[in-house]
Amino acid sequence: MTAAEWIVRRICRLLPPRLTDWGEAMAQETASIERPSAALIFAVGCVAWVIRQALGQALQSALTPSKATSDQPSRSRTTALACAIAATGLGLVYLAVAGAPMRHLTLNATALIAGLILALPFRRRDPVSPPFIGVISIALGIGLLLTAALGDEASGARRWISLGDVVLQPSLIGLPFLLVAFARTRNILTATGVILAVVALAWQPDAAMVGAAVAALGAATLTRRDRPSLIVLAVASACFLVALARPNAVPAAQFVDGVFRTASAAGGVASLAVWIGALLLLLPSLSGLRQEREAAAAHTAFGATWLAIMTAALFGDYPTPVVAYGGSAIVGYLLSTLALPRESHRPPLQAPGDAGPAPKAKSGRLSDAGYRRRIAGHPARTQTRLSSWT
Amino acid sequence: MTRSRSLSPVARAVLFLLAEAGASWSHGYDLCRRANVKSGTLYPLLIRLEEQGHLEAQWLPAEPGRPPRHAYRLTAAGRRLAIENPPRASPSSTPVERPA
Repeated sequence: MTAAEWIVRRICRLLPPRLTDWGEAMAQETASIERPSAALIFAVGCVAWVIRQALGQALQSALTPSKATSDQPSRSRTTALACAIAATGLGLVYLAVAGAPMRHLTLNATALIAGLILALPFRRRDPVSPPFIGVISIALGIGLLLTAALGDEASGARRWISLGDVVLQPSLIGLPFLLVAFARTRNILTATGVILAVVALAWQPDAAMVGAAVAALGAATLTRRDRPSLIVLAVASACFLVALARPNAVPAAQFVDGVFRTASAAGGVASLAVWIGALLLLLPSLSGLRQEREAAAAHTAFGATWLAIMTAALFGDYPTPVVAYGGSAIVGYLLSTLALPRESHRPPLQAPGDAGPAPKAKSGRLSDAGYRRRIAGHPARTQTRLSSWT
Repeated sequence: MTRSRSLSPVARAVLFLLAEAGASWSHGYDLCRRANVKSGTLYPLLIRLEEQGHLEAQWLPAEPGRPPRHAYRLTAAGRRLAIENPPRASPSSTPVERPA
Protein backbone atom coordinates (compact mmCIF):
# COMPACT_ATOMS: atom_id res chain seq x y z
CA MET A 1 0.00 0.00 0.00
CA THR A 2 1.36 3.42 -0.93
CA ALA A 3 1.52 6.28 1.55
CA ALA A 4 -1.16 8.20 -0.36
CA GLU A 5 -3.57 5.25 -0.29
CA TRP A 6 -2.83 4.68 3.40
CA ILE A 7 -3.67 8.31 4.18
CA VAL A 8 -6.93 8.17 2.24
CA ARG A 9 -7.95 4.89 3.86
CA ARG A 10 -7.28 6.19 7.37
CA ILE A 11 -9.03 9.49 6.87
CA CYS A 12 -12.03 7.87 5.18
CA ARG A 13 -12.84 6.19 8.48
CA LEU A 14 -14.29 9.56 9.43
CA LEU A 15 -16.96 9.28 6.76
CA PRO A 16 -20.50 8.44 7.83
CA PRO A 17 -21.65 4.91 6.96
CA ARG A 18 -23.60 5.99 3.87
CA LEU A 19 -20.36 7.29 2.31
CA THR A 20 -17.89 4.62 3.36
CA ASP A 21 -18.07 2.93 -0.03
CA TRP A 22 -17.25 6.20 -1.73
CA GLY A 23 -14.25 6.35 0.59
CA GLU A 24 -13.23 2.95 -0.68
CA ALA A 25 -13.61 4.21 -4.25
CA MET A 26 -11.29 7.16 -3.50
CA ALA A 27 -8.73 4.89 -1.84
CA GLN A 28 -8.66 2.47 -4.78
CA GLU A 29 -8.44 5.32 -7.26
CA THR A 30 -5.49 6.73 -5.29
CA ALA A 31 -3.84 3.32 -5.40
CA SER A 32 -4.23 3.18 -9.18
CA ILE A 33 -2.25 6.39 -9.79
CA GLU A 34 1.26 5.49 -10.82
CA ARG A 35 3.13 8.73 -10.11
CA PRO A 36 3.59 9.13 -6.33
CA SER A 37 3.41 12.93 -6.44
CA ALA A 38 0.14 12.83 -8.42
CA ALA A 39 -1.26 10.23 -6.05
CA LEU A 40 -0.37 12.43 -3.10
CA ILE A 41 -2.06 15.48 -4.63
CA PHE A 42 -5.13 13.37 -5.38
CA ALA A 43 -5.07 12.07 -1.77
CA VAL A 44 -4.78 15.57 -0.33
CA GLY A 45 -7.90 16.63 -2.25
CA CYS A 46 -9.78 13.60 -0.91
CA VAL A 47 -8.58 14.27 2.64
CA ALA A 48 -9.72 17.90 2.48
CA TRP A 49 -13.19 16.86 1.38
CA VAL A 50 -13.48 14.05 3.95
CA ILE A 51 -12.51 16.41 6.77
CA ARG A 52 -15.06 18.99 5.62
CA GLN A 53 -17.69 16.25 5.36
CA ALA A 54 -16.82 14.79 8.78
CA LEU A 55 -16.88 18.17 10.52
CA GLY A 56 -20.25 18.96 8.96
CA GLN A 57 -21.58 15.58 10.00
CA ALA A 58 -20.11 15.99 13.48
CA LEU A 59 -21.75 19.36 13.96
CA GLN A 60 -25.04 18.03 12.68
CA SER A 61 -24.99 14.97 14.92
CA ALA A 62 -24.15 17.11 17.93
CA LEU A 63 -26.86 19.67 17.36
CA THR A 64 -29.64 17.53 15.91
CA PRO A 65 -31.26 14.95 18.16
CA SER A 66 -31.76 11.72 16.29
CA LYS A 67 -35.22 10.18 16.37
CA ALA A 68 -33.91 7.23 18.33
CA THR A 69 -32.50 9.34 21.11
CA SER A 70 -34.87 12.25 21.27
CA ASP A 71 -37.90 10.59 22.79
CA GLN A 72 -36.82 10.60 26.41
CA PRO A 73 -33.75 11.66 28.32
CA SER A 74 -31.62 8.85 29.65
CA ARG A 75 -32.52 7.71 33.17
CA SER A 76 -28.83 7.25 33.97
CA ARG A 77 -28.08 10.81 32.97
CA THR A 78 -31.06 12.13 34.89
CA THR A 79 -29.88 10.25 37.98
CA ALA A 80 -26.35 11.55 37.48
CA LEU A 81 -27.54 15.14 37.10
CA ALA A 82 -29.58 14.80 40.31
CA CYS A 83 -26.54 13.35 42.10
CA ALA A 84 -24.36 16.20 40.85
CA ILE A 85 -26.82 18.81 42.10
CA ALA A 86 -27.19 17.06 45.48
CA ALA A 87 -23.43 16.55 45.90
CA THR A 88 -22.70 20.17 45.02
CA GLY A 89 -25.35 21.23 47.52
CA LEU A 90 -23.77 19.07 50.21
CA GLY A 91 -20.42 20.56 49.27
CA LEU A 92 -21.84 24.02 49.85
CA VAL A 93 -23.02 22.85 53.27
CA TYR A 94 -19.50 21.64 54.05
CA LEU A 95 -17.90 24.88 52.85
CA ALA A 96 -20.36 27.01 54.84
CA VAL A 97 -19.95 24.98 58.04
CA ALA A 98 -16.15 24.85 57.66
CA GLY A 99 -16.02 28.64 57.35
CA ALA A 100 -14.89 28.91 53.73
CA PRO A 101 -15.01 32.39 52.16
CA MET A 102 -18.31 33.26 50.49
CA ARG A 103 -16.45 33.53 47.18
CA HIS A 104 -15.80 29.77 47.33
CA LEU A 105 -19.49 29.02 47.73
CA THR A 106 -20.41 31.44 44.95
CA LEU A 107 -17.89 29.91 42.57
CA ASN A 108 -19.11 26.35 43.19
CA ALA A 109 -22.74 27.39 42.70
CA THR A 110 -21.78 29.25 39.52
CA ALA A 111 -19.90 26.19 38.25
CA LEU A 112 -23.01 24.06 38.85
CA ILE A 113 -25.16 26.48 36.87
CA ALA A 114 -22.55 26.68 34.09
CA GLY A 115 -22.28 22.90 33.96
CA LEU A 116 -26.05 22.51 33.77
CA ILE A 117 -26.21 25.10 30.99
CA LEU A 118 -23.62 23.08 29.08
CA ALA A 119 -25.11 19.66 29.83
CA LEU A 120 -28.87 20.14 29.68
CA PRO A 121 -29.13 20.90 25.93
CA PHE A 122 -27.45 17.53 25.26
CA ARG A 123 -29.58 15.61 27.75
CA ARG A 124 -31.69 13.98 25.04
CA ARG A 125 -28.82 13.60 22.58
CA ASP A 126 -25.88 11.30 22.34
CA PRO A 127 -22.59 13.05 21.63
CA VAL A 128 -20.72 9.74 21.75
CA SER A 129 -21.21 8.83 18.11
CA PRO A 130 -18.54 8.55 15.44
CA PRO A 131 -17.07 10.63 13.92
CA PHE A 132 -18.06 13.43 16.33
CA ILE A 133 -16.61 11.71 19.39
CA GLY A 134 -13.34 11.01 17.58
CA VAL A 135 -12.88 14.70 16.77
CA ILE A 136 -13.80 15.68 20.34
CA SER A 137 -11.39 13.09 21.79
CA ILE A 138 -8.47 14.38 19.74
CA ALA A 139 -9.35 17.97 20.65
CA LEU A 140 -9.45 17.10 24.36
CA GLY A 141 -6.11 15.30 24.14
CA ILE A 142 -4.50 18.26 22.38
CA GLY A 143 -6.07 20.63 24.92
CA LEU A 144 -4.45 18.75 27.80
CA LEU A 145 -1.11 18.72 25.97
CA LEU A 146 -1.34 22.48 25.51
CA THR A 147 -2.11 22.84 29.21
CA ALA A 148 0.99 20.81 30.06
CA ALA A 149 3.08 22.98 27.73
CA LEU A 150 1.62 26.45 28.25
CA GLY A 151 -0.56 26.28 31.38
CA ASP A 152 -0.04 27.94 34.73
CA GLU A 153 2.84 26.50 36.70
CA ALA A 154 2.86 25.86 40.46
CA SER A 155 5.62 23.96 42.30
CA GLY A 156 6.78 22.30 39.10
CA ALA A 157 3.34 21.21 37.88
CA ARG A 158 1.41 22.69 34.95
CA ARG A 159 -2.19 21.61 35.36
CA TRP A 160 -4.13 24.85 35.26
CA ILE A 161 -5.21 27.67 33.00
CA SER A 162 -6.36 31.11 34.11
CA LEU A 163 -9.45 32.80 32.75
CA GLY A 164 -9.34 36.18 34.44
CA ASP A 165 -9.56 35.56 38.17
CA VAL A 166 -10.78 32.00 37.72
CA VAL A 167 -8.28 29.14 37.59
CA LEU A 168 -9.47 26.01 35.80
CA GLN A 169 -8.07 22.48 35.76
CA PRO A 170 -8.83 21.23 32.22
CA SER A 171 -8.09 17.60 33.08
CA LEU A 172 -10.88 17.55 35.64
CA ILE A 173 -13.24 19.08 33.10
CA GLY A 174 -12.48 16.95 30.06
CA LEU A 175 -10.81 13.70 31.11
CA PRO A 176 -13.80 11.96 32.78
CA PHE A 177 -15.95 12.56 29.68
CA LEU A 178 -13.13 11.31 27.46
CA LEU A 179 -12.67 8.11 29.48
CA VAL A 180 -16.37 7.24 29.58
CA ALA A 181 -16.69 8.00 25.89
CA PHE A 182 -13.73 5.75 25.09
CA ALA A 183 -15.25 2.94 27.14
CA ARG A 184 -18.24 3.09 24.79
CA THR A 185 -16.65 3.91 21.45
CA ARG A 186 -13.23 2.40 20.92
CA ASN A 187 -11.56 3.30 17.66
CA ILE A 188 -8.30 4.80 16.49
CA LEU A 189 -9.46 8.37 17.04
CA THR A 190 -10.80 7.96 20.58
CA ALA A 191 -7.76 5.84 21.46
CA THR A 192 -5.45 8.55 20.12
CA GLY A 193 -7.32 11.16 22.15
CA VAL A 194 -6.91 9.16 25.37
CA ILE A 195 -3.23 8.47 24.66
CA LEU A 196 -2.57 12.19 24.08
CA ALA A 197 -4.40 12.92 27.33
CA VAL A 198 -2.48 10.46 29.51
CA VAL A 199 0.85 11.57 28.01
CA ALA A 200 -0.11 15.17 28.82
CA LEU A 201 -1.05 14.21 32.39
CA ALA A 202 2.27 12.44 32.92
CA TRP A 203 4.00 15.52 31.58
CA GLN A 204 2.08 17.98 33.81
CA PRO A 205 2.49 15.79 36.07
CA ASP A 206 -0.80 14.73 37.67
CA ALA A 207 -0.66 11.25 39.13
CA ALA A 208 -4.24 11.48 40.41
CA MET A 209 -5.73 12.03 36.97
CA VAL A 210 -3.48 9.47 35.24
CA GLY A 211 -4.50 7.08 38.00
CA ALA A 212 -8.13 7.83 37.21
CA ALA A 213 -7.41 7.04 33.56
CA VAL A 214 -5.78 3.72 34.48
CA ALA A 215 -8.73 2.83 36.73
CA ALA A 216 -11.32 3.71 34.09
CA LEU A 217 -9.45 1.95 31.28
CA GLY A 218 -8.86 -1.10 33.45
CA ALA A 219 -12.53 -1.27 34.36
CA ALA A 220 -13.58 -0.79 30.74
CA THR A 221 -11.15 -3.48 29.59
CA LEU A 222 -12.42 -5.93 32.18
CA THR A 223 -15.97 -5.33 31.02
CA ARG A 224 -15.17 -5.59 27.32
CA ARG A 225 -11.66 -6.58 26.22
CA ASP A 226 -10.36 -5.55 22.82
CA ARG A 227 -7.09 -4.43 21.27
CA PRO A 228 -7.60 -0.63 21.47
CA SER A 229 -8.40 -0.80 25.18
CA LEU A 230 -5.39 -3.03 25.92
CA ILE A 231 -3.02 -0.71 24.04
CA VAL A 232 -4.40 2.44 25.67
CA LEU A 233 -4.35 0.76 29.11
CA ALA A 234 -0.68 -0.16 28.62
CA VAL A 235 0.23 3.41 27.64
CA ALA A 236 -1.78 4.84 30.54
CA SER A 237 -0.08 2.48 33.01
CA ALA A 238 3.34 3.56 31.75
CA CYS A 239 2.33 7.22 32.07
CA PHE A 240 1.05 6.54 35.60
CA LEU A 241 4.46 5.17 36.59
CA VAL A 242 6.14 8.23 35.05
CA ALA A 243 3.82 10.56 36.97
CA LEU A 244 4.38 8.65 40.21
CA ALA A 245 8.13 8.92 39.77
CA ARG A 246 7.82 12.69 39.91
CA PRO A 247 6.83 13.76 43.43
CA ASN A 248 3.75 15.92 43.85
CA ALA A 249 5.24 19.10 45.31
CA VAL A 250 2.09 21.18 44.99
CA PRO A 251 1.14 22.33 48.51
CA ALA A 252 -2.32 21.40 49.75
CA ALA A 253 -4.92 24.14 49.34
CA GLN A 254 -7.46 24.64 52.10
CA PHE A 255 -11.03 23.56 51.24
CA VAL A 256 -9.69 21.92 48.04
CA ASP A 257 -7.17 19.18 48.88
CA GLY A 258 -7.39 16.57 51.60
CA VAL A 259 -10.98 17.50 52.44
CA PHE A 260 -11.86 13.92 53.39
CA ARG A 261 -9.25 14.13 56.12
CA THR A 262 -9.93 17.68 57.33
CA ALA A 263 -13.74 17.84 57.16
CA SER A 264 -14.15 16.06 60.47
CA ALA A 265 -12.31 18.94 62.18
CA ALA A 266 -15.15 21.21 61.12
CA GLY A 267 -17.72 19.00 62.85
CA GLY A 268 -19.96 16.04 62.17
CA VAL A 269 -22.27 17.90 59.78
CA ALA A 270 -19.40 18.95 57.53
CA SER A 271 -17.90 15.48 57.55
CA LEU A 272 -21.25 13.83 56.83
CA ALA A 273 -21.94 16.27 54.00
CA VAL A 274 -18.59 15.48 52.37
CA TRP A 275 -18.90 11.71 52.63
CA ILE A 276 -22.55 11.49 51.53
CA GLY A 277 -21.85 13.86 48.67
CA ALA A 278 -18.88 11.77 47.57
CA LEU A 279 -20.87 8.54 47.68
CA LEU A 280 -23.65 10.15 45.65
CA LEU A 281 -21.16 10.74 42.84
CA LEU A 282 -20.73 6.98 42.46
CA LEU A 283 -24.44 6.18 42.49
CA PRO A 284 -25.08 6.56 38.71
CA SER A 285 -22.47 3.93 37.90
CA LEU A 286 -24.40 1.27 39.84
CA SER A 287 -27.41 1.56 37.53
CA GLY A 288 -25.27 0.49 34.60
CA LEU A 289 -24.16 -2.85 35.98
CA ARG A 290 -27.32 -4.58 34.77
CA GLN A 291 -27.07 -3.25 31.26
CA GLU A 292 -25.57 -4.73 28.12
CA ARG A 293 -21.79 -4.67 27.63
CA GLU A 294 -21.27 -1.28 26.00
CA ALA A 295 -23.48 0.46 28.55
CA ALA A 296 -21.97 -1.54 31.41
CA ALA A 297 -18.46 -0.60 30.26
CA ALA A 298 -19.39 3.08 30.20
CA HIS A 299 -20.99 3.02 33.65
CA THR A 300 -18.07 1.05 35.10
CA ALA A 301 -15.58 3.51 33.61
CA PHE A 302 -17.65 6.39 34.98
CA GLY A 303 -17.62 4.94 38.48
CA ALA A 304 -13.94 3.96 38.34
CA THR A 305 -12.91 7.44 37.18
CA TRP A 306 -14.62 9.28 40.02
CA LEU A 307 -13.71 6.65 42.61
CA ALA A 308 -10.03 6.96 41.63
CA ILE A 309 -10.13 10.77 41.79
CA MET A 310 -11.70 10.54 45.26
CA THR A 311 -9.17 7.92 46.37
CA ALA A 312 -6.32 10.22 45.31
CA ALA A 313 -7.93 13.02 47.30
CA LEU A 314 -8.30 10.71 50.29
CA PHE A 315 -4.67 9.64 50.41
CA GLY A 316 -2.84 12.54 48.74
CA ASP A 317 -2.96 16.29 48.30
CA TYR A 318 -5.24 16.25 45.29
CA PRO A 319 -8.56 18.05 44.74
CA THR A 320 -11.66 16.46 46.26
CA PRO A 321 -14.22 16.47 43.47
CA VAL A 322 -17.55 18.34 43.58
CA VAL A 323 -17.94 18.46 47.38
CA ALA A 324 -14.86 20.67 47.89
CA TYR A 325 -14.01 24.10 46.55
CA GLY A 326 -13.39 23.98 42.80
CA GLY A 327 -15.63 24.39 39.80
CA SER A 328 -13.68 22.27 37.33
CA ALA A 329 -14.75 18.98 38.91
CA ILE A 330 -18.39 20.09 39.05
CA VAL A 331 -18.42 20.96 35.35
CA GLY A 332 -16.39 17.84 34.56
CA TYR A 333 -18.80 15.59 36.42
CA LEU A 334 -21.79 17.06 34.62
CA LEU A 335 -20.06 16.72 31.25
CA SER A 336 -19.06 13.13 31.98
CA THR A 337 -22.73 12.22 32.48
CA LEU A 338 -23.27 13.10 28.81
CA ALA A 339 -21.05 10.22 27.79
CA LEU A 340 -23.29 7.74 29.57
CA PRO A 341 -25.52 5.83 27.17
CA ARG A 342 -29.25 5.71 27.17
CA GLU A 343 -30.84 2.75 28.93
CA SER A 344 -30.06 -0.48 27.19
CA HIS A 345 -30.92 -3.30 29.49
CA ARG A 346 -29.42 -6.73 29.01
CA PRO A 347 -31.65 -8.60 26.53
CA PRO A 348 -33.57 -11.53 27.99
CA LEU A 349 -32.13 -14.96 27.36
CA GLN A 350 -33.55 -16.62 24.29
CA ALA A 351 -35.68 -19.68 24.86
CA PRO A 352 -34.42 -22.90 23.25
CA GLY A 353 -35.87 -23.30 19.80
CA ASP A 354 -36.75 -19.63 19.57
CA ALA A 355 -34.87 -18.42 16.57
CA GLY A 356 -35.75 -14.82 17.29
CA PRO A 357 -36.57 -12.27 14.65
CA ALA A 358 -35.55 -13.06 11.12
CA PRO A 359 -32.33 -11.33 10.08
CA LYS A 360 -32.76 -8.26 7.96
CA ALA A 361 -32.24 -8.71 4.28
CA LYS A 362 -28.90 -7.31 3.14
CA SER A 363 -29.09 -4.02 1.38
CA GLY A 364 -27.53 -3.50 -1.99
CA ARG A 365 -24.51 -1.88 -0.39
CA LEU A 366 -21.34 -3.58 -1.45
CA SER A 367 -18.53 -3.67 1.05
CA ASP A 368 -14.86 -3.85 0.17
CA ALA A 369 -14.76 -7.56 0.95
CA GLY A 370 -18.06 -8.00 -0.85
CA TYR A 371 -16.99 -6.53 -4.11
CA ARG A 372 -13.64 -8.31 -3.98
CA ARG A 373 -15.49 -11.62 -3.64
CA ARG A 374 -17.77 -10.74 -6.51
CA ILE A 375 -14.92 -9.69 -8.70
CA ALA A 376 -13.07 -12.88 -7.87
CA GLY A 377 -16.13 -14.91 -8.80
CA HIS A 378 -16.89 -13.08 -12.04
CA PRO A 379 -14.17 -12.37 -14.52
CA ALA A 380 -16.46 -9.98 -16.37
CA ARG A 381 -17.24 -6.54 -15.04
CA THR A 382 -19.39 -6.59 -11.97
CA GLN A 383 -22.24 -4.16 -12.07
CA THR A 384 -23.06 -2.35 -8.88
CA ARG A 385 -25.71 0.28 -8.82
CA LEU A 386 -24.61 2.99 -6.46
CA SER A 387 -28.18 4.15 -6.04
CA SER A 388 -28.62 1.44 -3.45
CA TRP A 389 -25.78 2.86 -1.38
CA THR A 390 -27.58 5.94 -0.22
CA MET B 1 -34.99 15.87 -6.61
CA THR B 2 -32.79 17.83 -9.00
CA ARG B 3 -31.91 21.30 -7.87
CA SER B 4 -33.26 24.02 -10.05
CA ARG B 5 -30.28 26.34 -9.65
CA SER B 6 -27.78 26.43 -12.48
CA LEU B 7 -24.82 24.10 -12.34
CA SER B 8 -21.33 25.27 -11.51
CA PRO B 9 -18.67 25.49 -14.21
CA VAL B 10 -16.95 22.46 -12.69
CA ALA B 11 -20.15 20.41 -12.77
CA ARG B 12 -20.71 21.42 -16.40
CA ALA B 13 -17.16 20.44 -17.29
CA VAL B 14 -17.47 17.04 -15.64
CA LEU B 15 -20.87 16.42 -17.22
CA PHE B 16 -19.39 17.31 -20.61
CA LEU B 17 -16.57 14.81 -20.20
CA LEU B 18 -18.92 12.08 -19.03
CA ALA B 19 -21.31 12.80 -21.91
CA GLU B 20 -18.41 12.76 -24.34
CA ALA B 21 -17.41 9.33 -23.08
CA GLY B 22 -20.89 8.04 -23.93
CA ALA B 23 -21.36 4.43 -22.90
CA SER B 24 -17.71 4.06 -21.89
CA TRP B 25 -16.76 4.16 -18.24
CA SER B 26 -14.68 7.02 -16.80
CA HIS B 27 -12.45 6.99 -13.76
CA GLY B 28 -12.09 9.55 -10.99
CA TYR B 29 -8.47 10.43 -11.59
CA ASP B 30 -8.94 10.80 -15.36
CA LEU B 31 -11.91 13.09 -14.78
CA CYS B 32 -9.84 15.17 -12.36
CA ARG B 33 -7.05 15.59 -14.85
CA ARG B 34 -9.20 16.31 -17.87
CA ALA B 35 -11.64 18.65 -16.11
CA ASN B 36 -8.78 20.22 -14.16
CA VAL B 37 -10.57 19.80 -10.83
CA LYS B 38 -9.36 18.56 -7.48
CA SER B 39 -10.43 15.17 -6.20
CA GLY B 40 -12.07 16.91 -3.22
CA THR B 41 -14.32 18.74 -5.65
CA LEU B 42 -14.98 15.84 -8.01
CA TYR B 43 -16.19 13.20 -5.57
CA PRO B 44 -18.89 15.27 -3.85
CA LEU B 45 -20.13 16.14 -7.35
CA LEU B 46 -20.18 12.48 -8.41
CA ILE B 47 -22.01 11.54 -5.21
CA ARG B 48 -24.60 14.24 -5.83
CA LEU B 49 -25.07 13.23 -9.47
CA GLU B 50 -25.49 9.61 -8.44
CA GLU B 51 -27.99 10.49 -5.72
CA GLN B 52 -30.00 12.45 -8.27
CA GLY B 53 -30.00 9.55 -10.72
CA HIS B 54 -27.77 11.20 -13.31
CA LEU B 55 -24.86 8.84 -12.84
CA GLU B 56 -24.31 5.13 -12.60
CA ALA B 57 -21.18 3.50 -11.26
CA GLN B 58 -19.57 0.13 -11.15
CA TRP B 59 -16.44 -1.53 -9.84
CA LEU B 60 -14.05 -2.68 -12.53
CA PRO B 61 -11.98 -5.73 -11.70
CA ALA B 62 -8.27 -5.45 -11.00
CA GLU B 63 -5.89 -5.40 -13.93
CA PRO B 64 -2.21 -6.31 -13.77
CA GLY B 65 -0.57 -3.60 -11.69
CA ARG B 66 -3.85 -1.85 -10.95
CA PRO B 67 -6.37 -2.39 -8.18
CA PRO B 68 -10.12 -2.66 -8.76
CA ARG B 69 -11.44 0.75 -9.73
CA HIS B 70 -14.68 2.60 -9.49
CA ALA B 71 -15.97 3.80 -12.84
CA TYR B 72 -18.75 6.16 -13.85
CA ARG B 73 -21.00 6.99 -16.76
CA LEU B 74 -24.12 9.07 -17.28
CA THR B 75 -27.62 7.67 -17.25
CA ALA B 76 -30.14 8.87 -19.82
CA ALA B 77 -31.23 11.57 -17.37
CA GLY B 78 -27.59 12.54 -16.88
CA ARG B 79 -27.08 12.88 -20.62
CA ARG B 80 -30.10 15.17 -20.84
CA LEU B 81 -28.68 17.23 -17.97
CA ALA B 82 -25.34 17.47 -19.77
CA ILE B 83 -27.02 18.67 -22.97
CA GLU B 84 -29.01 21.28 -21.03
CA ASN B 85 -25.85 22.47 -19.25
CA PRO B 86 -23.00 22.74 -21.72
CA PRO B 87 -19.61 23.92 -20.50
CA ARG B 88 -19.23 27.66 -20.25
CA ALA B 89 -16.86 29.35 -22.61
CA SER B 90 -14.55 30.86 -19.99
CA PRO B 91 -11.03 29.51 -20.29
CA SER B 92 -10.93 28.35 -16.69
CA SER B 93 -13.99 26.17 -17.10
CA THR B 94 -13.11 24.63 -20.44
CA PRO B 95 -12.08 21.03 -20.02
CA VAL B 96 -8.41 20.58 -20.63
CA GLU B 97 -7.43 17.67 -22.78
CA ARG B 98 -4.12 16.21 -21.76
CA PRO B 99 -2.37 13.13 -22.94
CA ALA B 100 -3.11 10.16 -20.72
